[in-house]
This record gives sequence, C-alpha cells and structure tokens, in this order.
Amino acid sequence: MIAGPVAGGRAAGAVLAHGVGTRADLPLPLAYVVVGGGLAVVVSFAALGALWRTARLRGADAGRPVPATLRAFVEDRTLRSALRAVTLGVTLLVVAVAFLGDPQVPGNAAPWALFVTFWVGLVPVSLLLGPVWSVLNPLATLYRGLAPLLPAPRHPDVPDRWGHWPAALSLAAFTWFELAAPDRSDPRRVGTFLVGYGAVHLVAAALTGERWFSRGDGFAVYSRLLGALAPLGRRADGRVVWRSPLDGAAAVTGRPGLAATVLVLVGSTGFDGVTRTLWWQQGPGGGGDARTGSAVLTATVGLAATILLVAALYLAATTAAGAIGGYRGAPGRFGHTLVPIAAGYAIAHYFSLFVFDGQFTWILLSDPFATGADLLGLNDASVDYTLVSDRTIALVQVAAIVGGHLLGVVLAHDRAVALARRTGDGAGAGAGTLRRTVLSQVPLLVLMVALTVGALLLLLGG
Amino acid sequence: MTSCRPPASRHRAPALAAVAAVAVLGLAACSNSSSGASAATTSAAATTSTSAAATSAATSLPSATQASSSSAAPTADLGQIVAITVAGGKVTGPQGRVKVAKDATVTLRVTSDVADEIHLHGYDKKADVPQGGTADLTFRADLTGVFEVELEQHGLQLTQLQVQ
Repeated sequence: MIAGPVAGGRAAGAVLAHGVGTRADLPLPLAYVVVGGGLAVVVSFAALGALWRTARLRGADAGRPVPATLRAFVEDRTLRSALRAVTLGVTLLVVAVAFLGDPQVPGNAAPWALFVTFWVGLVPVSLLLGPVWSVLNPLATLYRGLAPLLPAPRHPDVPDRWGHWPAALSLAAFTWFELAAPDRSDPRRVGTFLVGYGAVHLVAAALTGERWFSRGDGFAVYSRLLGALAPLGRRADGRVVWRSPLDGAAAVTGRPGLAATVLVLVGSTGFDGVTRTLWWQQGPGGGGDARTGSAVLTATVGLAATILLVAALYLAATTAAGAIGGYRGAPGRFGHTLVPIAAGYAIAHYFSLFVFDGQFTWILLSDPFATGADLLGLNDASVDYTLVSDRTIALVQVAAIVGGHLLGVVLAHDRAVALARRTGDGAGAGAGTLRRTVLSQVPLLVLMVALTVGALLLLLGG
Repeated sequence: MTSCRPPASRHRAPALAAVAAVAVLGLAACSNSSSGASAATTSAAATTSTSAAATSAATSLPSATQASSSSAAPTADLGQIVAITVAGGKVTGPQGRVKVAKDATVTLRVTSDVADEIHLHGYDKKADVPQGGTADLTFRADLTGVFEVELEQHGLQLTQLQVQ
C-alpha cells in the first residue's frame, strides 16, 4: 500500500464534479436541515416586523478607525510590495509545476493549488482580511511591471461602462472550467487555463488601464465582494476601520454586472451541490464517462441552467420588490444582499474540501517537479482526514447557509427602506409608504428562503 | 484523463531500476488507448505473461489466477462483503450508496471481464483484478464520508461507500 499522496484525483469522479477531490461530505442530518431551514424562515419574517423603519446602515461612511500601529501595518508599502512579489512568485511556480511537474493529478500540485487552496482559500482569507486578491493580484503586479513598456491605454473608459460584467464572464469561464470542462484536473490543462486567463486579462488591462483588474478580473472582484464582509475595511474618507459586515456589504457599489457576478457565484456553487446528489449522479449526470463529450455537455447545460435559474429567481424577486415598493432599477440595487449568501454557499460546499484535500497542495509542493526533492519535508506525509469531525462539518455547513441568509435578509431590509425613503415623499414617509416598503420585501424574502432551503436540501440529498 | 497512480511512486525506491520499471509500467498503464485493458501488460517486472488473460502488471498479484485476493491471510475476517460485477462495460452491484458503519471491516469483491485496478478513493486502497477474475479489497472503514470506488483505467464507477 502506497501511503504517500496518491490521491484519487480523478478528473470527474461521480462523487465530486469539482476539479479535484478524494471524498464528499455525508448527507446533512435531517434535524439540521429542519432546524436550519425553520430558523431561516422565522428570522426572515420576524425581520419584517421587528427591524428598523429607517435605513440604519451607513455603508462606506461607517466604521471605527483602527489603532495607528495596525493602520501602519496594513498600509505598509514595503510589506505590500513584498507580499505582491511572493504571490507573483508562487503563481509562476504553480504555472511551471502545471506544465513541467508530474503529468498526473495525484502527483501534481497545480490542480490542487488552483481548485482548492486558491479558489476555496480565497473565501476565508477575504472574509477575514478584506479584498486581499485585489491587493496581491499577480496579474496586476505583472501589468505594473510591463506598463512602462506599453503604449497608453486606448480605452480607459471601458471598465466604467462595462461595470463588473467582464468579471461575471471571467468567473463563469472559471466555474465552467472547474465544473464542466473535459479533463479539467489534468495539470497541463490547468496550466493552459491559467496562462489563458492571465493573457486575456493582461491584454484587456493593456487596452483599458490598470483599473481593469478591479472591475473585470473575476478573482479580484470575488475577493473584493467577500472582503466587503470582513471586519477590516476602508472608509469613504480613506481610513482603515473596523466595521460590521453589514456596513461593509452596504458599501459595495452597485455597478452594472455586480448582481450578475454574485449570481454566477451562487449558481455555480449550487450546481456543484446538485452534482453531489444521488439524484444527479444516477440521473442526468450519471453513466457518462467524463472523457466523452456527452458528460461535458450535460455538465455545461446543468451549470448554465442552475445559474440562469438563480438569476431568474433574483430578477423576478427584485422586479416585484421594486414594483411593490415603488423604486426603480431594483435588480441593480440588491446584488450586494446575495454576497453573504454566496459566501455561505461556498463555505458549506467547500469547507471540508479545503481542510482535507487542501493538504495535498503542500504535500505535493514538497516535490514540485517530481524530481525526488523534499523541500517541505512532507514527502512521506498523507492527508489527515481526522482534522475535523462529521458533526463539525455539518454544523459549519448549516451555520454558513443560515448565517449568510440572515445577513442577506437584513441587508435587503435596509436597502428596501433606504430606497423607499429616497423615492417617498421626502423625509416624512407616510404609513402607506411604510406598508409598501414592508410588503416589497416579501418577494426578496421568498427568494432568500428558496436559496437557503434549496441549499440545505441539496446538502441533505448529498 | 484517468488518474492512475503517478508514474513514479513518491516513496523513493532505492533501486533506480525498480523505479524505472514502475515508471514504464505506470506510463503503459496510463496510456489511455482505446483498447483499454490490452494496453496494460508485459514488460519490465518480468513476472507477467502476454496471454489474453494477462494480469495487469503493476503490483504483486500472482499471475493468471482466476480468483485472487489482495488479502494476505485468506482466512481473515472479510466483514461486510460488497459484490460487484463488471461485464461489457456495465456495472452490476448494489443500488445507490452502500452504507457502512465506521470502523467496520468491508470487502469489495469485484468480478470483471477486463483486467484493471480497483481503486477506493480517499482511503486510496487498490487491488488488481485480472481479466475474467475476481479480486477482494478488504479494509477497515475508519474514515467517514462518501467515497468512490472505481475501475481505474476504464474510469468506471463501481459504487459509492457512505461511511458514517
């Protein structure tokens, strides 16, 4: 028996449609689902009656300045430059490993680094520290190095006009690669994807300027959105502050494509949940070999359908809310309310993957090019599957889904009140306006309850 | 692609020749030719034959036995036996997920009309099944979760174990 890191990283085992992985979580106990779902419903409708009647969240204006030492640390230019250089170096190493390392998934760190350590790890790091990837983005670092050699950007206005749509598209491309592409965990393909992704965004930045990355690079935007929920943020006046995740999320600017970006995240994670159910594995997603075209087509259609379904629910709910509450452009104004829900989805689906399969990245990086090196002294290590118990995983899953729901409901409430007040009769909103404001939240609550119960049921069916 | 074992075992074998042999076999086994089973035969280990009922070459199975067992002691407790048959690319076995109590002993008994490797993911346990033969993979279910059992070269899922 080989005890080393010979992972079962088959490209698309039926257990996991996700890029890589060796195990899947147990189905959530029914009691957890009932309690979690019930809590979500009760909290939602209690919120209607009990929460504040005038908008309380101050968004970008909120927050308490952090102590000067912490501020100096956070804003330290040398530290930032050093971290950027390290991030760029590690990224280049992962790309090199993808092309030059072991050709098989179980022996190559790159797929694990991309699908688990980076993509999943981005969630907790951003939630705790803020938009780290906007700061460390190796593509932006590369661009800054190349910019003096390039002609001036020809279309600097494009990032503004397009809003976050390019980010939505690039995240859709990544999640397709992660969940549906043929041979997606093949190290060479992972390398090709990384180079392709980098090339597209570098060219786009060359044409439109550095702002491209904060608007159009899906990973940077994802980190920025999640980072809005972090306890550490930057106030409108530029100061580094402690603030609540509610104010952070309310500070997210409602650019075009913001909602689409979040919907891609929620929909793709939801689809990953679908593929873990026995229903999918024995039904639409079953029987096919991942190497054949039909399995790719099935997964592509499933992914697109899930994203479109979530988007349709969102559009219907926000349009109805706007019609009832009498405020315009509602679909563009509630995108931030789904950010905590997207975060909850990501945590619930990928927590155990990160804890367990994330270990492979480091074990495999110990001998990155399969030359017999043991840089980290981990060659003989194997994954410790006892780090967290099933009960802990289940609790984290329910807490993440319900917690995300809770934040989403409060954000939607505050935004609805704010919008109604703005469109109402000045400051003195009458009783009729108030009732309409409360009623307008019902479709939003229905949307969130649907997303939450849906997620819990998928985990139950897992 | 299939993710068969890495060409070179990550436990460095002292003898270079052995490593090379494993690598050659690994590559041969991993070459994803359409003829599947027939690709994985012969060569360096010098223990296998090229008969139609060739054993897959990589590991320690005695060649050409019709019923081989990966368990060293045939009298050992086999525990819960999960019987699966592969014929003509179709899998016959338990429906849905096989539920297993944590720490129970489980034996995966796979009968196959193609030579291949049985791979229990997560536990990362493997056993070779010869063409037309049966292989037992006995293990203690000490990790919880849902795990896939796969006929590795053919990328065919045999069953899923739900250990809890």
